[in-house]
Amino acid sequence: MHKIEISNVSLTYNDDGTVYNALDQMNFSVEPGEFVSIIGSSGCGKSSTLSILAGLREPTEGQFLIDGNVSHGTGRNRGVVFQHYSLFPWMTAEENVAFGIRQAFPDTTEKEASDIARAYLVKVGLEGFEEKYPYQLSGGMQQRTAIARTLAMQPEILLLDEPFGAIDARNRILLQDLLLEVLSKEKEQKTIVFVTHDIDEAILLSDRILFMDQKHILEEFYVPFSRPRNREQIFQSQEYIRMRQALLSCFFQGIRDKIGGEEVVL
Amino acid sequence: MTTAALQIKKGISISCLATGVVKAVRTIQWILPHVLFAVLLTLIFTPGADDSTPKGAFLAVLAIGETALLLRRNSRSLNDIMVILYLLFIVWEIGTTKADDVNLILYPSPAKVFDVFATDWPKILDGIRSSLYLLGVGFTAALILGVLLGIATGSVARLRDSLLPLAKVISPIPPIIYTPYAVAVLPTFEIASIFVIFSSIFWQIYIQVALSVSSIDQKLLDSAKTMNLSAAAMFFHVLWPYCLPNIMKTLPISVANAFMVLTAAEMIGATSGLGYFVRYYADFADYTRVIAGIFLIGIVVSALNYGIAGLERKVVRWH
Repeated sequence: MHKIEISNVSLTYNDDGTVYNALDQMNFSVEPGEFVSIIGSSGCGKSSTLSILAGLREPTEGQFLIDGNVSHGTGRNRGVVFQHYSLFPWMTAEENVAFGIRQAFPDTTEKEASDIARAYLVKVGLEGFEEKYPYQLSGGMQQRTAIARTLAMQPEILLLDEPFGAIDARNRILLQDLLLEVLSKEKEQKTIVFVTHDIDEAILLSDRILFMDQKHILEEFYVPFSRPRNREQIFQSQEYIRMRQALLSCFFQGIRDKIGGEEVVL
Repeated sequence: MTTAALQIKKGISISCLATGVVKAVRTIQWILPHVLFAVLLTLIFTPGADDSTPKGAFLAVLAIGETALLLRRNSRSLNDIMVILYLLFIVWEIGTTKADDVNLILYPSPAKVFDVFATDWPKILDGIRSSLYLLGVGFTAALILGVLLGIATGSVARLRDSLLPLAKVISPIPPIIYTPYAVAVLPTFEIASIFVIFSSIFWQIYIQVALSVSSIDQKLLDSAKTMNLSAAAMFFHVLWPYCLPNIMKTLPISVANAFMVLTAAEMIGATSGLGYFVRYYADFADYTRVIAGIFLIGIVVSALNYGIAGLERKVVRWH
């Protein structure tokens, strides 16, 4: 059985009379323990897809199933990391994580939650920053905290909406490696849907890449590299170059279609 | 010596002169308040129109000022503030005791006004207690209801679209205008003044909270939703702390408004309190106590605002 199944899903926004089509007849599925990236240019509908998976929006048409059951609304089985503003500004890093733990596991005492929170913050390399408020942390540190909080809530499915999109290049590399490392250490393998517009990031992290355009999935790529992955080895391999080329041509095909089939000279 | 060397020497001497002037100005600046203090002391002990009033309270006030100056010698603002205060005291002292044709009933001397604090302090404390009680009850009620209704209004679009326009029509009515009617209709003066204080603070907090909740960042709400927060957690851990900094910012204005309304109400129908204190003695033409009462109200409001500022620093630590 698929962990996640999106079947013939369409999503329309009704904004003061103007109907806007965000997703059109989309189909895909994710297997248990699989890391799937959804990639595409801005406005292709990838964030709308994630908001359906998170339960923030209901599909206008079609079905969204988890473990074979139709899913409505948000749920404890899913954890989400957004690009911005995931953390509560009035809680310290530790309080943010501990608050998440207490929401997911209401029986936890404050002391236990705070101990678990500290342990997770150590895992994401934030030892010594437990008492800092989000405004005192860099963007990268905030995302580390958000990842720690989501993992500490122990969801089966992890949804990441361009979590490193606003991070500078060097820190993005550190965070990608950190994500892989932390995920490999989790007791149960998480099912992950990762939204990004960064081709390298998608190849490095995922088992499968879904290329999205025109409001549905257009292409699907399996990533052949075994885990644990080594960044340099992957980036030097022939498979990587072929794959990157294929994904790039998907992007440019989209651009060609948009400007009316003319050849794009770069 | 060459001309160039001469010019350099001239330049140096001018710059020496300039630094000398700057230094002198600085020294004068630091000495000035103490000089004014000495002038004031001389004036106080020079015979004038009012030599019978005990001077202890006035001297105590001046002693507090001097001590503050000596303790915080590096504070330029305190230095300037004390210069201004001493100048005002000097004008006041000369105008009421040393000038010709003084009228100590209409224009009481500083010694007389400050002496009220020394002799009437039980009455004053009682007035403060009574006023703060009314303020505290009205304020707490307004805060709780304002926040609860404000959050409800801000988060439900239908309530927002219907209640906010109404609130914007009702809220600009100066609450002071309710006072005569409230005093007439409500059973006790206490309830009437609590009601008036309540309505002077409630609208401000209610509208403030409703507006900030309705403009809350959608991403923050999404994040909270994906964490499956209970309604109580959403209220106490997300919406309330989200509004808190804005509430704390409007609080000093709210308190000042409420105090204005309260003292006005006390002047109409109370039998205790700070506003009553002023009106009662005004009826007897005891303007010394009237002025002391006005000072007192200023001091109490300032103390409250100082307390709020301290509370804000303690409660809102995430900015």
